[in-house]
Amino acid sequence: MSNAFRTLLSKEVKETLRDPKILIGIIIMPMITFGVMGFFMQLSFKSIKEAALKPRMLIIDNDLNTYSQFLISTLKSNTNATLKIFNRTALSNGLKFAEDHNYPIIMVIPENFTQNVTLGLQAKIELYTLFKRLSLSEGSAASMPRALISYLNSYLVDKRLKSLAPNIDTKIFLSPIKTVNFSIIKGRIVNVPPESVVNIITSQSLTMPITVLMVLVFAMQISASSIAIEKEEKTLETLLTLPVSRLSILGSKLISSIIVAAIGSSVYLIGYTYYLGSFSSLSTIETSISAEKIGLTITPLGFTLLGISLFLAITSALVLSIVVAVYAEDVRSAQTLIGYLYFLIFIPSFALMLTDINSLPTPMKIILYIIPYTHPIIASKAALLEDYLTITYGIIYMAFFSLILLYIASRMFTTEKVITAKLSLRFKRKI
Amino acid sequence: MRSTSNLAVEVDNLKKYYGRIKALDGLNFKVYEREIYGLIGPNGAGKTTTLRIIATLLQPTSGHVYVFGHDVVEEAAEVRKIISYLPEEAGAYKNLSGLEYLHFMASFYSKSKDELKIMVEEAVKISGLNERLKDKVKTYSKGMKRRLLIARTLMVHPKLAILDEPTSGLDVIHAYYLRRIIKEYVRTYGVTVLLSSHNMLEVEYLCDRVALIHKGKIVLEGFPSELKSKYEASNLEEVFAKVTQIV
Repeated sequence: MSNAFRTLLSKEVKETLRDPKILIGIIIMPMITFGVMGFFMQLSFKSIKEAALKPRMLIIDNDLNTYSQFLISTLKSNTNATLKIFNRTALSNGLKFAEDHNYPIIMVIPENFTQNVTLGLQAKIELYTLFKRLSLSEGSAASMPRALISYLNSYLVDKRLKSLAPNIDTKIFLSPIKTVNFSIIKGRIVNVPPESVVNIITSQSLTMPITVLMVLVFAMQISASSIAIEKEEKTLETLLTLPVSRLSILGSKLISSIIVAAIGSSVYLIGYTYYLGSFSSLSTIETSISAEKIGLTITPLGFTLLGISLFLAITSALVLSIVVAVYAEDVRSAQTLIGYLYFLIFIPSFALMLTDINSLPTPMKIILYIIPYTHPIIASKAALLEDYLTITYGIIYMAFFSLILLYIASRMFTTEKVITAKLSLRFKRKI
Repeated sequence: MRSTSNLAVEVDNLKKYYGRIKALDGLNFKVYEREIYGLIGPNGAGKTTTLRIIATLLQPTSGHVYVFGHDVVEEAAEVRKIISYLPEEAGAYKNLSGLEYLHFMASFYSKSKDELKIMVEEAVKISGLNERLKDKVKTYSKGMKRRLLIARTLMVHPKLAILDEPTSGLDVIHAYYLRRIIKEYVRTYGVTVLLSSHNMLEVEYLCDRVALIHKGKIVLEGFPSELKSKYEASNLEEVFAKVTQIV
């Protein structure tokens, strides 16, 4: 790397990172937004969890007999529920108390509950959930009493069956057929249900389009600003008369945009992961199955090809935005012009987030294949499936696209076009 | 490269069209080494276009321009090594400090760290901004920014300094300071200067020779004293007025 190029690159990175608009918009805002969103999500899930695990419950026991006592004592000894017990009271009285003292769950055990259970008749328990604030935590408060009733049901079934046939296995009796699920991935049989594989694929197929989308949008904004700011601040003319090659100027702008976009994207992804992580705080049992365990991993060759694919996507996006931004006279109009290009990124990202390209109708497929930014998203799935030919086709197409754009950009930078190009946005003048 | 005895700039039948608009219509003039040459003329006469072509920013539609024998189109990279251009509405990188900006600019011209240091020290002296050079450029007034830019243009000891309206928009004190600096510096280091200006006082004070551009052509050229006596005018402003009425 020549001295002049290093100097240009260092200036570009310094100028960009010191620009409050970029610093706030690309680094600080995503951190704050995701941080705050994640914090509130966690708070909300914490309250849901607390409501589910430590419900406040009012019990109206109109039975006052063996099984109602058994149910209440199980609740008392095995859970963290806060209980208030009324004996033989009308629901209206209980309801008033529950409303006044913030008990979202009322359990009513009817008068002949034990008698019905003992006689083998279907006994009833009424569960009332009070919605005062229409919150999620109110809705989740009934989960524990429901689980307890379900446990009581199993207990009673087991007890009855055992009294009829002492050697019977209740589990087998209730489910005579058991399904054992396997999935076949890349020709390998793994003892994992398809739902778990779908969960992994979904999380992977969401991550890549979002990553591509964010990296490209950041990079395009930064590279467009880097040229537009030179025009806005009237520094471009001086820069172009310096004894340094015009291609070095273009190159330094491209590389500095990649560096700053990488920083911005990392911050975004950290924030996004924190935000997604806040959802998992709801689950109490570890159910996740790693991608490695089921063989959904990317080989070093796959990683290399995926890296090339992403690199070409970023490079072409940067050059494209610079070419477009050359026509703008200031940062604001550059951002407006760049905004018109976002559809090239948003369409494949959203279209392929939950759909496979092969399941789309042919015209849609052709449109997506023409858009260069479809290819790194396809490549992410193809890398998992070791379909290297598909990635290579995408790489060839993007390399061709990038080369054309680089040629246009270098022509612009080595001629007076970089100074004289202007796009008249006629509709703006009418305002 | 052409052999040029003591010619710094040679403009030969220069034409420039912006689409259908004719900006320069066969311009011819020569600037000699160590000379301060002024282009004067009304707005839209073609002064800035001429300077931009000489500074390798724009390309001529036809005609030739040589800077110390180098063709500005064919040998643009060579030309850029020996010129230093100050555009009329130039800015500096607002998020860098004045000192960082000078370091950045000097690094393209210096061959060693010592040379870079000398250049920056010289710019510090020329700008007269002292401690303020440590502050970011965005905190500078218009006058301070222009001083910084003049310092940047001159510190590299160019063979040709191209100054487009060097004191444009500045108050009397700043303008006076900068004119004095330019004159002193040019005389000391033997730099050739090609400048454009609307300010006749400035042109008379700074320039050895002047050329009046009107509608993309040179309509008058000579030494200020010679032009004043030829048109029986007390200053260049009167010469300017008389000639443009005739043309």
